[in-house]
Parts: sequence; structure tokens; C-alpha cells
Amino acid sequence: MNLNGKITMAIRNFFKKYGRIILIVFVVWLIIFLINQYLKKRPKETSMINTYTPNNPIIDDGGNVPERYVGTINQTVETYFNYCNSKNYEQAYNMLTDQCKEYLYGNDVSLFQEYVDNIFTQNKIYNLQNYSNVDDIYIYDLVILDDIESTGTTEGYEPYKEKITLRKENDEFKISNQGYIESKPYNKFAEDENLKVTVKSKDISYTREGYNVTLTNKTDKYLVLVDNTLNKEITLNLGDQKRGTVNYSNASLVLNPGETRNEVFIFDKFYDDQKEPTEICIEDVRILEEYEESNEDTAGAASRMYSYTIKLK
Amino acid sequence: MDKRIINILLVMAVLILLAINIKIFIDNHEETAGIEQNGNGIENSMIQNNNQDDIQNTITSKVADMTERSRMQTYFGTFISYIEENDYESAYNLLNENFKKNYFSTLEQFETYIQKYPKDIAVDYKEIERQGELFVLTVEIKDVFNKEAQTITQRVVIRELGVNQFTISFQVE
Repeated sequence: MNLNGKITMAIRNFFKKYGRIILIVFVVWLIIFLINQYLKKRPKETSMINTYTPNNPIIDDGGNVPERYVGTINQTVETYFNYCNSKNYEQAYNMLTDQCKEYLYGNDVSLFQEYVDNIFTQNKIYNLQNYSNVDDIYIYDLVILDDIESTGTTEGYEPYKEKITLRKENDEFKISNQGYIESKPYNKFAEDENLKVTVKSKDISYTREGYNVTLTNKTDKYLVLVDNTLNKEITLNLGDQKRGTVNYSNASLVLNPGETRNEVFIFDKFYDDQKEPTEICIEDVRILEEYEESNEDTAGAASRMYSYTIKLK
Repeated sequence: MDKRIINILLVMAVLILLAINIKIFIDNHEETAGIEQNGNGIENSMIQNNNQDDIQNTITSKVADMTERSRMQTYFGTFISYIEENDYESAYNLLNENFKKNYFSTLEQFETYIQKYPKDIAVDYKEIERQGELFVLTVEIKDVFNKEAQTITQRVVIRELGVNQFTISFQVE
């Protein structure tokens, strides 16, 4: 057999022996090659740095909104906002909690209408940011502004912000707006031979607590509780600090002989500060035989002066 | 012994031939695609397209890695660059549709308005704030070469639709 014949025979034998292996290697290589080409041409997935996390609270002491509620809450706010934007007052009003209707609008939808008309002066847009969560109460910042994408802010740029609260009532989320959160009954009272004080309830907003009290002067003398001649005349004890009222800075509180009067003691207090009020204190009850508004030294003129405490716990 | 050497040589020859064939096939395929596209009047060949894709991917990656502030400045910078290059249509196409309807229903109206901008623009970013998914920038537009020229202060609203994808509206005065 000559050389050509030998080579031909060798090639034939070679492919007979290794043909299958070569085919397998080739197929494997081809698959790898095609996968590489595909990956090379595939659009690269890119993710951006994004600080916008509307459902994560800014104050995270109370934890996040449960995942199962996020969609419903966003939908509830969107529906409420759209009702306000399209001036469907009744429908928007009906999305408020009963306490909110009563406290902010005296159960009068026309007062709610005034509020809506004051803010929704033209087509508005909004954005929502979870702010804080306490138990089953979810507090959000609601920012309402002109449709700045359409106007480019040409017609002004004055975002209006308020806190709204969402809580579940009878399987649906209800809203409290304008920072108001809830009211709680509070039947606590204190009494001595001069003064009887009953704390009936408190109205809570995100930044303040208002205690609804009834004061009775049991004497035939004047009781001066506040006249702005002393510092912090009525205080709320939060354990580690005492806070004065914010609504008597330019007013006096004097009970005439035998008088019974309803008052509200309002104090600054964040809803989510985890501080528990322990007592309200009237720091200087001054008992006077005679009282005139022009009297600037009620402490000096008092026949007796003492502090009066109403325990809240 | 002869048989084993011949077998090894044959294996090597087959593999080399296989590799060369595949390489030639791929190169030819790419060139053919480029020629076909040129023949159809499409300016960019496949290779050019690949390069452009690569450039676009690089830009996208770089923008994606930026902070929000830098991204917004880049987006507004893109808008201003189009204006500087007299590519008004590209700048116009970046505008929010409702904004266009309200203030610049035609490209010509936009071109007329934009003439108040200096030819060579320098932008000072004074403030940036987020309103949900929108960003509101306050910018000062100045003339690079003429410090005496009036500075235009404007608010700009940007919505980011994706990486390097955005719409713009601005305070019209």
C-alpha cells in the first residue's frame, strides 16, 4: 500500500475511532460560543441609586407599614385625593374617620368643603411619604402641589404639606387629615376643698395633645390658675420633663366663685415620642378675695397659693 | 508508532480547520450584514451599530452609577447641550407632553423662546429637591463669555423614566 493509501486509510480509521468525540466537542464548543454571543448582545440590566422610599418611615421607631397594607393604603390615599381634586366633597368626607369628622369639621361636610376649596384651587398632584407608624396607625406626609410637570412651575411653586393618618376600621382604611390622629376618653379627676378638675378626654394630633377638662371652683373666692405672671403655670409631666400649655400664652384662666367651666389644656407632644404623660399640674393655684384683670401680682395678693396635681395614670 | 503520530496530526489539523472555518463564517456573516444594511441606505453598519450600542451601554452604566443629584444635573446638561448645538428638535423632544401643549405647541414657538438663552451657556445649580418622583431644580443660566449679560434663574422639573431617560419642563417667563 502506497503512502496515499495509508493516509486515506488512517483518516478513515481516525474518524471511525474519534468521529463521535470530535462531534461532541464541536457541539459543546458551539453551544458555549452561542451562549457567549447571546450574553454579549443581551441588554445590560442597570439599577440606579434611588433614595425615594415612600413606604419606608422617616422615623423608624415604630417599624414599617406591613407589606400587605402598602398597596391598599396607597390606593386609599389616591382615591381620597382624586375625590378632593374633582371636588367630590361627600365621597372624600366619607373616607375620614368618625372622630376626624367630629373633631375637625363638627360633623359638617360644608366645613370640610371649605378646607378642600382652600387647598385644591386648581388641578393638583400629590406625593406621599410614610413618616411614622405606631401600632396599627400609619402616619404619612401628604404633599399637595400644582401639576408642576405641566406648568414647569411657571404658575408658582408652593407645596402644601400636612400629616395624614390611616388606620383600619371595619376592614377598610380610614383617613384622619390635617395632622389630627384620634381622640381618647380619659375619665380622671382630682378634687380638694377649693377646686374640682375632671379630665374627660384628650384630642391627639401628631405634634400636640389637647386635654378636655372641666374645672369647678368650690369656693366663694376667685381662683387664679393662669395669668401669665409665672412661668409654666399649667404643665404636663412626661416623666423626664414638664411641658407648659401652648394655648394660654396671651390668656388668663380665672375661675369666679362657684363657677364651672370647660377648658382645653394643649401641650406640645409628638405622637410617636413614646413618652407617657403621668400627670397634669396646676403649678400655682392662687386664692384671692378680690380679682381684677389689671392685677399683676396675683401671687402677692393671694390668701393661699399651692400646686394642684391631676394624676393621669 | 507511525499510526499514532499520524492520528495526532490529523486531530490537530481537524481542530485548526474547524476553528478557522468558524472564525471565517462569523466574520463573513458580520460583514454581509453590514453590507446589506448599507445597501438599504442605512447609514450605520452592523459594526458601527455595535460600537454605538457599546457607547450607549457605557453612558447608561455611568449614569446609573451616579447619585440622584448628578443624574439630574446630567439630564439638564443634556438638554442645554442640545440647545447650544442648535439641535432644538432634540431638546424639544425631551419636554413633557402636557408642558409642550401648555406653552410650546410647536417647535418654532420653542425655538423662539430659547433665543433668550445665551449662545454659550453656563449652568449654576442652586437647589435641588425631590417631590415624589419629580425633581425640582433651581438653576442659574449664564453666558460663559459675557459676565455682564443677564442671568436667567429658572426652576426645572425633571421626571426620570429610567436610566438616561427623562422628561423636562421648566418655568417659562
